[in-house]
Amino acid sequence: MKFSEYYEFSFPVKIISGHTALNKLQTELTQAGVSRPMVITDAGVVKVGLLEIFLNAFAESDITIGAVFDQTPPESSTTVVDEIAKVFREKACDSLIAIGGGSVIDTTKGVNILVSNNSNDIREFRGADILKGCLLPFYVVPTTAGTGSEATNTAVIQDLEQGVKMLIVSELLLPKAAVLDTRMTLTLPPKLTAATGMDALTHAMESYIGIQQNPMSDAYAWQAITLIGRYLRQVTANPQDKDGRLALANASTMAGTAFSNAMVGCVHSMGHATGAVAHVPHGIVMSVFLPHGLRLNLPKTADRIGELLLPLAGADEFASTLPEQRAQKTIEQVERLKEDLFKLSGLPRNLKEAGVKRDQFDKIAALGINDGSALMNPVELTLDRAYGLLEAAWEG
Amino acid sequence: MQNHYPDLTSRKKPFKKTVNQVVLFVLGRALQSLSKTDPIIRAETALWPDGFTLVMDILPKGGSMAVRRQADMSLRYLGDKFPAEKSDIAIHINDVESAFKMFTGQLGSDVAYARHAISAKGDLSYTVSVVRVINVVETYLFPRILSSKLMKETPPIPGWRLHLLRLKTYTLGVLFGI
Repeated sequence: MKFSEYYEFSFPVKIISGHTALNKLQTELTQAGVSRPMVITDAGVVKVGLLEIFLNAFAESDITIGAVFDQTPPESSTTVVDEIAKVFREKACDSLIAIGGGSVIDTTKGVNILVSNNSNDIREFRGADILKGCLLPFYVVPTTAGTGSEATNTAVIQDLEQGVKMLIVSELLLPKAAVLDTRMTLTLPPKLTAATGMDALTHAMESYIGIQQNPMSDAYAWQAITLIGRYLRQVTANPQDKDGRLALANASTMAGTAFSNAMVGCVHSMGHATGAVAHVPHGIVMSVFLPHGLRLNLPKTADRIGELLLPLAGADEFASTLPEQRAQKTIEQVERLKEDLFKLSGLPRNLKEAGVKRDQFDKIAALGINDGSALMNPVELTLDRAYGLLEAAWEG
Repeated sequence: MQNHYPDLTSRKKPFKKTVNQVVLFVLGRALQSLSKTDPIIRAETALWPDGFTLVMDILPKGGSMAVRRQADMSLRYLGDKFPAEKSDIAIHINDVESAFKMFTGQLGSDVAYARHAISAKGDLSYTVSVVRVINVVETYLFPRILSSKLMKETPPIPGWRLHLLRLKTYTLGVLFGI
């Protein structure tokens, strides 16, 4: 494979990782010169007691939590971003902390754009590489190990008036620090653990084979795949495995870093479309489409897919497979992982099990080929190929 | 002091700048002309809202072109003065060198995006469709040997149509916008 002729890579996020890493966050805030953070989270996080763990970590500090917004919906929207920005200003907060998954983190990124730019209209900032200047200090405490949003330069926010999803891409959206604390993912049920782990695996694999891949993003993707290959089955089988949980949280952040700098491909195109049409959770559709997306890209990236056998399956499997068979073997390993996760947690293996209807294929295919991720896929995602992926994933 | 440390204002690249501006004009006129006849472009523009405006410009002041989607699904070239902030989607090419590479068949749209040579403002959900349309136009404008290097695969345009519309685009299309 030719060495990247030109690339850009940015990852200015401090990682604080450990079984009780949250305890360090108060020092980070103090060092950044802020003392009134606003916390943005959702009802689920509060319900399972994660907000309590977070608040305990600030005991005996000089930090005052200026406000807690705990009603973030499953999909971030302009309305909720406006509402939170208003509270932030009224309570004179000076920084932001997101505790949650993708939607909470994206919402917080949107709020940060508004409050940092003293604006009331997030639509002004739609687009790629449009934001300028600096945003306010922002911290993320992920409660899933999959989206990698703590390490990505994108925010997806629904414009409820226009009925469209707005995409904002800028490295300024990255947080100052991400806190990977074992306690935050310990309560994730096995099925969700499996789905979010497959989401992270998809980020890593698609970024590794995409046309924007580069040596830096490769390093992050490689290590993420190694950790997922080693720990995802183990943690799904034993959710209280603390070391495994921490490893998966790290893998998710690393996969997010790879994806933020190298983008993703057709698995995400089809996954976003399926999610929008059939309302299937993102991690599940990633898992369903991943082997089929890899197979679609075999004609252009067989060597790269073959290399991934080593981190995914280990040295013995890699060494005992002929070089020309490694790409196929990698795909078989992904399929085996899916099968194992189905047995361990009931994670759907195909579109049929995920509840997608065949009469939704037309809409999904039309949306899929227009998803931004398709641009970075090595093989052109045509309408015929989108249908091919849907057929392959139907019962496959 | 002033004599020893003079300001060094940015240098000029008049040749590349001129080539870029000419290509932007050709691209705008070609979009107008081909959108009336090419079925692949029309299938894409059918999905764009009526009045949808696309601006492509070279930052900071390297030239610009804009097209607007008409009720009959064709595109109308709006010239080189249309303000980017009033467009639905603005594709900014970030510097004169990247634009020159793109416009002389050395750099495809998707690779340019991967290399951050392009930034985009507005509703990004149309970006992929816009790139497909530009790929079709480039297939008509550039010889096959160049266009095949610029994109993952060239659009499925039959040979007779390619030659016929290429001839029309370079004559009536570019000169008169027909």
